[in-house]
Amino acid sequence: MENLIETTGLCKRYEDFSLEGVNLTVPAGTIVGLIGENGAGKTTTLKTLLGMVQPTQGSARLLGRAPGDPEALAQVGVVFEDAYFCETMCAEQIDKVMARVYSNWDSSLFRDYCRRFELSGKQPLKEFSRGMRMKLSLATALAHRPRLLILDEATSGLDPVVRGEILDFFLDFIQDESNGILMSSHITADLEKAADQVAYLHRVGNTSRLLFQEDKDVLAEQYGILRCGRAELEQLPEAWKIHTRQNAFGCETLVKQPNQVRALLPGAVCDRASMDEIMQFYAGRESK
Amino acid sequence: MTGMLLKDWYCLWDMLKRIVLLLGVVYPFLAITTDMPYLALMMPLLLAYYSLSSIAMDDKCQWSRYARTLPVSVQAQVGAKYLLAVLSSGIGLVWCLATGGLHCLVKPHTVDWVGDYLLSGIVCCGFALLTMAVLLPIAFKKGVEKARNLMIVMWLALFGGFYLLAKLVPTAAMARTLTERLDSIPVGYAAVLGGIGGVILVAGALWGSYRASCKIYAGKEL
Repeated sequence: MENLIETTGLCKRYEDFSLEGVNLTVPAGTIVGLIGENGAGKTTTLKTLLGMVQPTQGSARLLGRAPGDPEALAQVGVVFEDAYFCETMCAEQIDKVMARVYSNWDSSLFRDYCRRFELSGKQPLKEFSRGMRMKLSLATALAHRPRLLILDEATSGLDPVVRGEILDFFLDFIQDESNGILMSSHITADLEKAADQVAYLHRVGNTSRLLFQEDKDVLAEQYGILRCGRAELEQLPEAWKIHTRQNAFGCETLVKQPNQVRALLPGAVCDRASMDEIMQFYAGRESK
Repeated sequence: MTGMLLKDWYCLWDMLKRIVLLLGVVYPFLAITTDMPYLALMMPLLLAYYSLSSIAMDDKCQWSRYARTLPVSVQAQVGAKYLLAVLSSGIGLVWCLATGGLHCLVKPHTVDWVGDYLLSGIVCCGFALLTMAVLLPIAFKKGVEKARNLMIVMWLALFGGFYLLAKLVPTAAMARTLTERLDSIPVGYAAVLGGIGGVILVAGALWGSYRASCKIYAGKEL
């Protein structure tokens, strides 16, 4: 399967923060969700892929080309957390501008998206709600028929209805198996719904690393939340226990190998771990 | 580059239409009725500064960040700002010359179209472009606010320099010397030499400035 995005040992070091050794891939036909705490380097990773910042070390390929290569960017649609157009511009003007930017810009497709998203062509952006601005960004990102979508917190701040519409849209987009999506989001529920794979950037101190990139289903098999007493917990090998939270009812532990845990402790409850829980427990381990 | 230029035009038009009456009607009207061509001569300068305004607008809406994700080279993105400066000062010059033409038509013999408008207008246009050649790289590197501050310093230095020169050198003597010097040069020769020199100076400054801006913009992490 072709990789639309491929990074090898990607590092970006700033004075007060460094992103280290990111090996990330986005295979064609998949949606990869990039999760991580605030300041974990999700946006830095995306910026590096797009050529907006230069990596300190390592390499990145975007559709087989160097980041920032105009030929690669011509096949990429990007949506940030807001529409970065001048507030006085309207959709019709954006259409005319983009027709001169992208050689394969499809004005009729853009107008179709605007109709579908109920966006007025003549209304200036300053009169748009946040949801409408995001929809306009999405219409702009899609009207040149990209192969790859890169989304940075594209659904944050949107109401559940709009978020749902946009996620459905991503699922439609991925029906063409040569397409792919890399989306960073804090809203793990969105990723639970749409993503095929999840990549977790985890920050410890001033350094962030990619902790894992896994299929969503594999994650469900690899991690579990064990609820039991301290005595039962002691029976588990240390390597399986990631972090334990003590509460009034006993212990809650993020464990690896949940199936083996269930076999070892048949009396204990071991549920599937959500992405939020995985992040919370990893973050809790570091702040101990 | 045309897409970038069109985007700048759409963004600036909203700002321009609020002062189009002032620039397009009031200034020419005052220039003609008060016999003060300099009000029309300001036009290339005033319009050229809109390329700085377009950078300020880009910064405000974070367009530059988005532009990096488009299949448009750094050279084209930067070049659009220079093209905007050249076009806008050119439009200013045309408007200035049209005002001069109307001035001569309405009040013949009060001003000289060639001297007061054409030559002065071309010099003002060249000066506007030289100013932009200095300010645009600063705006790309340090932001528009710092470039505007520098512009004020440049203006103060220029006019302060003229003022000091006039104070230090006796005016009559300076004028006499200048007239004698100018009279000794054949008009056609001076025009050709001055024109070619001016074009080379402005074009060279713009080219050098453009190269510097491209380097600054390419190295900028957004």
